[in-house]
Amino acid sequence: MSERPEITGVEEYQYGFHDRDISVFRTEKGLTRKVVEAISEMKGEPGWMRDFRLRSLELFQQKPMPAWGGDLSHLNFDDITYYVRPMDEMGRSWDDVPQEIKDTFEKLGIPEAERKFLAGVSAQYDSEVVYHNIRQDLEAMGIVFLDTDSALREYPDLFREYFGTVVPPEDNKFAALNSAVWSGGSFIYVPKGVEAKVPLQAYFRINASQMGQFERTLIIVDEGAMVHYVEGCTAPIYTESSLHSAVVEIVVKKGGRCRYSTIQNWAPNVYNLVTKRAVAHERATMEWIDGNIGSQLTMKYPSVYMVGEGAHAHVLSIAVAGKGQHQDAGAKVMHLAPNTTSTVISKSISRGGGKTTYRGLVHFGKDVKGSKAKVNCDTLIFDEGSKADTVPTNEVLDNRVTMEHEATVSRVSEEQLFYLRSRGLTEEEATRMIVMGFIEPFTKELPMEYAVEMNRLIKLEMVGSVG
Amino acid sequence: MEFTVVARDEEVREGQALRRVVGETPVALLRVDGQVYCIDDTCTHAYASLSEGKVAGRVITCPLHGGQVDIPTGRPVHLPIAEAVTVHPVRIEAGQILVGHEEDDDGDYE
Repeated sequence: MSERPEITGVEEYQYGFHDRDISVFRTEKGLTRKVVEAISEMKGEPGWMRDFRLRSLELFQQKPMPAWGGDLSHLNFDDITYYVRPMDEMGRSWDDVPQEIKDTFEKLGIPEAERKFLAGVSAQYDSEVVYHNIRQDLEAMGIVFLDTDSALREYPDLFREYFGTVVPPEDNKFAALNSAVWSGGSFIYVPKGVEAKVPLQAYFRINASQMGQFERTLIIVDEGAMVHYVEGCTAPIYTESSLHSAVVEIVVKKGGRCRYSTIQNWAPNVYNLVTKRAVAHERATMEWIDGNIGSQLTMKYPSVYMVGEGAHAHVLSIAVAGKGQHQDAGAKVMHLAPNTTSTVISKSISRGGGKTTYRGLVHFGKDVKGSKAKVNCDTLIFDEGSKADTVPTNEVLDNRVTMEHEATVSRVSEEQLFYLRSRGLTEEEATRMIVMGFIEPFTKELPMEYAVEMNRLIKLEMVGSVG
Repeated sequence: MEFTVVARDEEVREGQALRRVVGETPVALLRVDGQVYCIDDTCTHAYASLSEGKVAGRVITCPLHGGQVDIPTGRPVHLPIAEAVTVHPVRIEAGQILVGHEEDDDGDYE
């Protein structure tokens, strides 16, 4: 039984329906040692993980809330349920998934996408992955694609070698929170020289109200290997806020290549506070393709630590902020070895009183001769009252490097609209065309099916924005 | 290189960092397996004071973001610290710890 609640002030969010709560277990509201212990016990984890969680909880309690970025004053940690288990056992076929959950994913088009063009799919519903599958030919190549909880059980040594090494719990308050209560997420290992030619996808759905989703993703791309991972996220619209706080750790070894694409379309009542970080070794390439359309507040700055000579980072970020939204997004590129290169392209659109902030860091270490970085931030502001800030930080400790920074801020001008309307377009069509042209560098980097979806989403966001 | 007295030998204990300022550079004094080491106190990642972090064996953990440094070599051992911390030469003379530093340390990165 699904229903679409009427919430005034929230526009055009297509995925705001919610299902009846059929969860089999949930922890009490609020975050205590008891809650963390219950999660660990329920999962039957080894002692080291339980200790890791408890240490992280202490760190979370000690660390202050960030005093920068978005407004977190309404985020009440005591109102959140930290673990909601939707079903008893994970399914390997969609038939194993409870009908209501399956219906939700059908509506989101996941099983259909899997049949058509994906190599593997993981579907997380509240705290647990409810469906997981990988194509047999990829499994035969030695690619491991599992939900993170299963990976801890099935590959304990590989897991422990990398888990928490890229983002330690001390990193920030929300990394500590995730480390204490993490559940679900994806684990990928691509062996040496193996190339996964088709994308692997994970889909994250929050259903419960005032719930926190804390998935943990760990991707290891071995030497000369390649993978493309895509994630999508949606949630119902409730009057109370939910929290999504993920940690993503990626290691790309010598000559490897990883592309991580996100289309974040959380409901406009979700706080999305995520830490994403990759390490790129010698001649490795790490690409973050990061689309932020939904959520009430997003604070997310995917980073790449280029620690090996000739490593390359590419971050393409798009942020769309409508009424009541703040997208505080950006990128961090750390040049820590010679001849490393990076490009950051950020496209922000604010409309209807929304706010976008580009917050970025380019760091050149002391011995990084021949390294180059290029940052390009473009902002489109639609109307009075919408805001866009650009907060770039550049640290250069070696004078043998090249650093370029370009930024533009523009409005959708009367002149452009007039020109397009003189060619027979309506004002709305003309606006859409300008926006589509503006974000084209982003959509052309997505697999075709996602690009179509992305264009559709942006079009939906734009409905009624002019006139 | 100039050597400056920064502390008495007995002031530096295993498992604890002692912060001092040499010239204009804050440094951390540490004892590992009986030997005294002196590293830059400022973390190369985000400029936190390393001496406020935890010391375990030969590794110090930055209090701000959890990066780790190998004390004797200054090398990073855990992200988000990815760049080495400067290790300063140390001499012990008549129960006093002396730390060596360049007279002109403006930081020329060539």
